[in-house]
Amino acid sequence: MRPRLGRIAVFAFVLVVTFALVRWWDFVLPSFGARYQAVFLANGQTYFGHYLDRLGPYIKVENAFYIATQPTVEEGQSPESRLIRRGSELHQPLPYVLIPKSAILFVEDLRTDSQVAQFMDKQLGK
Amino acid sequence: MRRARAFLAVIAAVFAGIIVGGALDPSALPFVGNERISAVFLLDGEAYFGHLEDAPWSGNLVLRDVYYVNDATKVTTDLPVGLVKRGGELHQPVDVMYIRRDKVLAVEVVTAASPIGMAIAAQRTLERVAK
Repeated sequence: MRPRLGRIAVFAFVLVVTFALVRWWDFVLPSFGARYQAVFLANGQTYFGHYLDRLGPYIKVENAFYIATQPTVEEGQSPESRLIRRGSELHQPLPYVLIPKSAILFVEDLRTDSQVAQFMDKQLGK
Repeated sequence: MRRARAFLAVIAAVFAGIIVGGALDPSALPFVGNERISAVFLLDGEAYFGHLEDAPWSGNLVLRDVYYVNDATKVTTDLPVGLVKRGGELHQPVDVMYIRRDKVLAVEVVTAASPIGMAIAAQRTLERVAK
C-alpha cells in the first residue's frame, strides 16, 4: 500500500512541477535577433513589437504597435499615418497579442536606427 | 521492477504536465481571480468577445458566452459601445462558437475596466433583470 501511495505522491509532485514550468516557459523559443520585429499579417495589417516564436499554433507579440491611417480633412492630401501602441482600444487588451501562425505572411527584424524602433523605445521608456 | 514502475510514473507525470500545461491556463479558470474574457479577431474583420477554450491539438477554438459589437445607438445603456449577446440572430444559435483557427487573425485578453468589459457587465445585468 505504501509504495503505491509513494508513487502517487511522486506522480502528483512531478505533474505539478512540470505544469508550473510549462506555464512559466509559455512554449517560447529563444530568439537571438533584433529587439523589435515587424509582423505582416494576411489581412494587410502590420504589427511592430517584440516577436516571440512559440511551440504550438500561436506566436506572441509583446508591446505591440500598429499603424493607424487617418484621412485628412483637405481633399487631395495623402492620409496621415500614425504609430499607435496597442492597448488603448475599446477592449483595452493586456500588452501582448497572440497571432496564429497561419495568419502571418512574414516577419522582419527592425534595425536599431529604424525610426519605428526608436519611436517604440521612446514610448516604452527604454 | 519497482524502480521501473516509479520511472514510468515520473515519465507519465512529465508528459501529463506538458499536455495539461499547454492546454490549461489557470488564470482562465472560473474560480481563479477575475473572470477572463478574450477578444478573438477574425480575418474577415469581425471581433467576438467571450470565454475562450483553446486546445492546441484542435483545429477549432471554442468561444462561449459570446458578445459582439453593435451600433451603440441601438442599445439602452449609456456606455460608448453597444454589445449584443450572440444567440438572438435569425437562426437563434446556442451561444457557443466553433471558430477555425486558420480564420483567426489575433487573440487578446480584454481588461474588465475597458469599455468592452464594462459593456459586457452591463449587458449581463440587463439580462438578469429581464429574467
